[in-house]
Amino acid sequence: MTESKQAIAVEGLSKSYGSELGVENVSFSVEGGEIFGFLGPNGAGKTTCIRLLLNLLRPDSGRITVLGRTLCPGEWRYKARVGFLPGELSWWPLLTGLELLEFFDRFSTQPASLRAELLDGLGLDAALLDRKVRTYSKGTRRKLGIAIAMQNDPDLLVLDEPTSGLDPLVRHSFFEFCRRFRKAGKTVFLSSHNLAETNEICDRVGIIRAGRIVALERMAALRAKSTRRVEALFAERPRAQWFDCAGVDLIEIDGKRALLTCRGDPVPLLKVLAARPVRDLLVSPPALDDLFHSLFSDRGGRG
Amino acid sequence: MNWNIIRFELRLSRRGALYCGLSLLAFQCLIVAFYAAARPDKTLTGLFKLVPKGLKALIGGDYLDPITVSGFLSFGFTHPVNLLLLITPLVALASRTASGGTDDGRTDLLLSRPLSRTAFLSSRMAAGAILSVLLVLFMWLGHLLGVLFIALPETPATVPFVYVALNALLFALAVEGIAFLAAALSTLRGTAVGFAIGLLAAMLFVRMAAQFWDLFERPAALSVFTYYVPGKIVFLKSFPLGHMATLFAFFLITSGLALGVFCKKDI
Repeated sequence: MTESKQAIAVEGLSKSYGSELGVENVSFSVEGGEIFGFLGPNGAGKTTCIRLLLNLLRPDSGRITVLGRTLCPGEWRYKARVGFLPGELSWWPLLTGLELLEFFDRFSTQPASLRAELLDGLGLDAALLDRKVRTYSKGTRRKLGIAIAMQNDPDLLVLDEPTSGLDPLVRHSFFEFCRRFRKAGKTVFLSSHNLAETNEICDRVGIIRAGRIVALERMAALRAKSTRRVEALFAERPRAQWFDCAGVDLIEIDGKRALLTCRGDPVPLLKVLAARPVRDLLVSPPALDDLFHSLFSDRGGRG
Repeated sequence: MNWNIIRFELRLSRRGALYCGLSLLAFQCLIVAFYAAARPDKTLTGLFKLVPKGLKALIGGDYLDPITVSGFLSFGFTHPVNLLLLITPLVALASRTASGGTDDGRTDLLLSRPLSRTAFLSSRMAAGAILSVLLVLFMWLGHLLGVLFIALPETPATVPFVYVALNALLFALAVEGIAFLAAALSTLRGTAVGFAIGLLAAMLFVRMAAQFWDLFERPAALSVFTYYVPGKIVFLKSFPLGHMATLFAFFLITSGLALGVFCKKDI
């Protein structure tokens, strides 16, 4: 168990590939029992960070501690407690799903206690597992990867874009497994560029752009900073000055309908609306996309 | 060393190795059948006279003796087809070690498991060594079956061909070491295959060139083909200890270098 301890601590991490920057001065930590989302556009440095966490790359500078072990060249023992899913995985096409599950299980000292539940939850039946991986669809290969990463109930899960290619039902099932891991005090570190799923599952998020961390927030705080779209229908044509309050911007008035955005605390807007003859109200969820868009477009560097 | 990795690598190489092994077996039988059918008459001797000097060097050199049964059969072990069937599965297995380029996730996933890079690569090398033994066994078995079941004017001595098999095994190990070194230095599998084939082709060229120009005699000492000498073993009926030791040293040095490179590289 890693509860109430830092599962991952990264300090001043830099890595470049010749003249090309991988990550620069990256620092963050992930608490035990937390689902941490690592967000960024393609090429931002997410996979580089993951490879550094797994000691596949040597950092140019900085310090990484995973499950209490400070990584140095040759350190590998901590991996017994880590489950990993790579972002791109060609697999071994001539082997069956079952052969691969058993092969990876043999590395672990823990029994594959979650395998049956995972296979059931992810929809991987016995007939499918007896088939060669080359016959699998992209989604099925992904499900197999998730099952392999989770089957031995590791203390830390490192998942690189785990839901890519999964249908909504399986994605829901995968999220349920992640929540179970969290409940058991285990840690999930997942990289993604899917904002909606991060919003749905993560407790905290780190946003990386051009190799640098640009935001490190709790999801709730991020939501509070983000913008909601509000569409209000009034009994009479609204006036622009009604909406002159903190955090509220009027987009347009169309007959008796007003289209607004509300950033942060919604209370001032609610007070305005309560004082007016509102007939209908539609509030869309926090538009994280806008926030990310602003984070990714305001600062220079590669994307 | 990790037995799980060894089994896995052998499982992955199973089909290719079986095809190459059976082809080696069939090829050796074919060589025996060819001798039985052609006999060392003037045509065969004339044919061998037409073989260029460089190529002769590869298939026995001064010790090439197409007239006797043993001499002709030793030619089967150095024939380019035989060499190709022996080398291909080993290069294919070793090339899986190439990593750090376009990410296919496989090496990442294997190295995310609790085992050191040294254990990982040495296990893969051990799988290569087992594969080498199996391929040489197929080759030798083909020779043996041919000798047992095809009528020949005389039965070739067994012991020199046991030495030939050992020489072939050490040659295969040296090739494996070179292929692993090429793969450890490469980031893509295709590059690793090209690099290994290029190195072996260069060694072959140097060995051939040394037959014509003195300039190449010293570089030829660095060619594994210089030490793979079935024709000489059969002709002299002796165990070439120096050649065997040199091939084994090739294996140890190239494997050691491959381990050193792989353990330090970014995956």
